[in-house]
Amino acid sequence: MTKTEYLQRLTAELKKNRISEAEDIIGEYEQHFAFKLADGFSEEEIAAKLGAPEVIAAQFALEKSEDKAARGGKLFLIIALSLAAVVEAMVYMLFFAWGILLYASSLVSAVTGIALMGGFNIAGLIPYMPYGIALIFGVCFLAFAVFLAAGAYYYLSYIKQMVKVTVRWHKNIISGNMLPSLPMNPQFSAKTRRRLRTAISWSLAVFGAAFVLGTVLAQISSGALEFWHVWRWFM
Amino acid sequence: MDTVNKKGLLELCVLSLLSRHDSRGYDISDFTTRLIPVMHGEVYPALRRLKNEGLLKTYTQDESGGKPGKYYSLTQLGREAYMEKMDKYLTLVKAIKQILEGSENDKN
Repeated sequence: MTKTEYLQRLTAELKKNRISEAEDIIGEYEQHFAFKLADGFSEEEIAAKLGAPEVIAAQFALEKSEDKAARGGKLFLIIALSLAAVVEAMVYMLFFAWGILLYASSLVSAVTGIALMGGFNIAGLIPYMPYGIALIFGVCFLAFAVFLAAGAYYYLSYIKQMVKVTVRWHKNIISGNMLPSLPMNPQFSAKTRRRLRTAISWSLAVFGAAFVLGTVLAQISSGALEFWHVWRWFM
Repeated sequence: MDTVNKKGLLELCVLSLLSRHDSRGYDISDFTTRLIPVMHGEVYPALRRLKNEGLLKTYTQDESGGKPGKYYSLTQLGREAYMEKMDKYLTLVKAIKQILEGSENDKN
């Protein structure tokens, strides 16, 4: 076998065995040929001494499975990890449900805001207040809706990232590969991060301002600190 | 008893060689295959195996310090693993020697 033939066959075999960084390996064998050729050996001699490409490639392939299995308890590990995965899945489902609840709250807040601003009194649920104040409270609710939505988005991204981290951890343990563990924080693009930050800070500011302004105006217009009694909200 | 099979022995020899000085893959292959009966190409899978286990690391040497190329060196973990493997191997060899010599004595 010539050098080219040997390297070609080795490349093919490595590919067949799904060995990573095959170029790196081929590089080592190329060098081996180069050094031995410089020492005056023929390509055929060198190839023969290296060992059959199939055998060599198989040795690269066995590095993972066999060694990890030899460390023992792989089956036990898989069972333990599966049990852990069930618990993790339940916990994450709970977390996801909370995220959905946040979105739902945001929706409720938005509908309330629109109803207040538009003067729609759905099923008589909205208590009496002068329209000007309803408008301000409407803005307050809308801002709160934006805040909740942005919060829910961030929260769910966080949970998603946590799931990814967990999955990577499981994979690393099972395969014995050492993929770097992922960061715990959700990885947003700079643009998304900027937008989220703007949405959260502005909505919070508008919410606070509208809430205070609405309350103060309601107190002035009703002539009492506890304006809800004057307007008979809870009767 | 992973030092007993050929793979384990080759790995032990590679670790031993690297415990003395950092070497290139070819030099390790050349040196070990002169002494123990393995195919020249089998040294590279062994190196990779040890590297994946975190016992070895590689670095690239340029022309300035010695022969250029990719060098292998032991990590701290590699040193510890080498000591442990060597201990196990020597203990085993001693025990087997005793058994073998004992059986020799029995005949006499």
